[in-house]
Amino acid sequence: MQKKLVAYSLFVIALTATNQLAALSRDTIYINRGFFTTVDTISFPYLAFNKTTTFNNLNTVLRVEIYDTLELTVVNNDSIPHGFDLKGVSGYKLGLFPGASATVKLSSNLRKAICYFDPTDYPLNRYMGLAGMICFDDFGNKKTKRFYWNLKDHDSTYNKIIPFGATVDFNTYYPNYFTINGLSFPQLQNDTTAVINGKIGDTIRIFCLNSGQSSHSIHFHGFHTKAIYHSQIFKIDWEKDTWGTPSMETMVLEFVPDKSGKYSVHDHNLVAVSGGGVHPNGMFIIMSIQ
Amino acid sequence: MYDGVSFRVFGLTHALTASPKIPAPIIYCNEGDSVVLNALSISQTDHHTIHLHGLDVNTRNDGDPATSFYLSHLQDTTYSFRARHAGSYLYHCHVGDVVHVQMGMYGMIVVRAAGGAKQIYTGGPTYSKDYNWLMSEVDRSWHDSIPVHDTKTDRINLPRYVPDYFLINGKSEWEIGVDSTIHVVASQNEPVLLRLANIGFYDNRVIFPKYLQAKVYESDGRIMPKVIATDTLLISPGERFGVLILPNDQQQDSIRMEYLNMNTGLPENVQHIPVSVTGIYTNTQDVNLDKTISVYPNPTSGVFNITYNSTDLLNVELFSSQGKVLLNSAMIMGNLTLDLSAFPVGLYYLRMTSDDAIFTKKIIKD
Repeated sequence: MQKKLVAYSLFVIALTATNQLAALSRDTIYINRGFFTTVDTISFPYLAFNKTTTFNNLNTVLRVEIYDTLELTVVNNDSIPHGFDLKGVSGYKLGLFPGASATVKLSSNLRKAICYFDPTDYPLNRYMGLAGMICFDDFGNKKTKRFYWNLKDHDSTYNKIIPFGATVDFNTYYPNYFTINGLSFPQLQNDTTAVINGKIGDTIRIFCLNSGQSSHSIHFHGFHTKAIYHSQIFKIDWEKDTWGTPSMETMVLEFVPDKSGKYSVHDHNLVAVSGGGVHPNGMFIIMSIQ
Repeated sequence: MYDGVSFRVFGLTHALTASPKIPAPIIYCNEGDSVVLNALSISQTDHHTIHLHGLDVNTRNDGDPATSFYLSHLQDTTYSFRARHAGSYLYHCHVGDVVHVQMGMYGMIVVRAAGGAKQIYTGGPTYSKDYNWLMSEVDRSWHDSIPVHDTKTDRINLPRYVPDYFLINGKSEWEIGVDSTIHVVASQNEPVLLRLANIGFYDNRVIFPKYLQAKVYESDGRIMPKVIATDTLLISPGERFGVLILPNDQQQDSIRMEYLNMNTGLPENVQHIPVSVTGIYTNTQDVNLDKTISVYPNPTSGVFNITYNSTDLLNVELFSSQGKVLLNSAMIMGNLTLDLSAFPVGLYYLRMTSDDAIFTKKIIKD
């Protein structure tokens, strides 16, 4: 049974003015504990924000129409205290005892991706998996093809000892698994939310978060993409083929393919195109343009 | 290496008889050129390709074995591209790329402005000279015991990456200071373009002395939407930046190049690139800005006027012949009157800078 407790704090902030068509959407996410299974079938403890009480290593991507208000309830389904916060947005930080829930409201008139995460014992709970994206867009426009990338690195040893209260030193961190949406190549190719599949002339939009501890550098073969949003705001409107993406930054990239074919997208820290020490089982996607 | 250590490398050369070097030779072309690369593999073991990094070629010319073909021993092919945008790009082998790039199979492609003009991009600000720096690292253990690429499964078992050498154009430590492709030699007011690229597995953090007035104009072959004036620039693996420096002082100094571990964010090495600025540069001309500015009378007995026909902000600086700033002002469309009456007879320099152009003019007070 879920016990509803008063959260440490609750803020309701409308980020922007709303228009007449603005609607209220409601969503709930649960903090779940489970096990992450790697490309080479190694398992280690993991945490995630999921839409149900069943653990899934992919943090829920929350999609919200721009101008609409999201009323988001966060439930701590774990046995230890957790929290919730939005990166770069003040006033949302809250704590959640085991079984507790809290509700926040937010909206945006801008197309963007915001990182939500657990700030408790930072960066440990975030490192253990608790970080995802809230995406604001005109989702009613079905002509745009949208894809979602949650970049993450993992040191399986860290994941195994952190739940037991062991101290880890991120100054000596050396991850051995690299995932997008919790998957590495080649399994990643089966994730239709990640693998770009489009046609010449399509508007292709990618919502991207680096929820890992490492910095990543995402290189597109075949195309430059434009940052229609970037949490490092000076990068908005940059047009690049390679995006240095520091930890906890988000970006919304867009391009319109002008040629068909298959093209790779991968981390250009080429060590991150590996999993369990085996290349190319890491951050590597092959997109398809018809 | 600078310390006398040598190790095995793979390489890309322009001639069969040439020894592979890190990095491979720079390929130069001009915006608008159609470029064809003839490639021959003489590797007796692994396959190879040439990936044209950032040139947005089709799958056939992309050199990615996951989507296209590779070259076996003694196979040849052509890769072609159209140089649509001035800027810096990379070429590297994409077969078992983590190993083949580490082994040294990479180089820069420099696309100059149309016609080879000394402009950052066609119609953009002019520069007097340019330097192309390609940063990378070497983990010697990977070269001493090369990770095996199983070509049947396309798998490589990777050892831990712990670089020993931190390179700019294949050079490190004292070698940097004696390499004319790296050591910046310039005059005060001389616009110098730095094309910076990172093909390593670490981030580079570049720190410019303030007097160099570094501005970022281009990245990955595209014009920046806004010119960024900065003294710090982060370059992640695969990224390229075009930075214009315009020294406003005469100094012997250095640009700091840090190599950041991407997992910890900590700098693990620093290379210092010497910068020698002596004398005053007087030949700066920007065709576009020249059309919008007139300076009169010149020679002058004291008072002279600048007429400027543009709504872009124009910074105006007057220097003595020793490089000291005497007057500093800014203007938009209209007229600006400056007075040299208080200064002695002689030669002065007027430097006018807008966001995308630089113009320097000699002023004679008689």
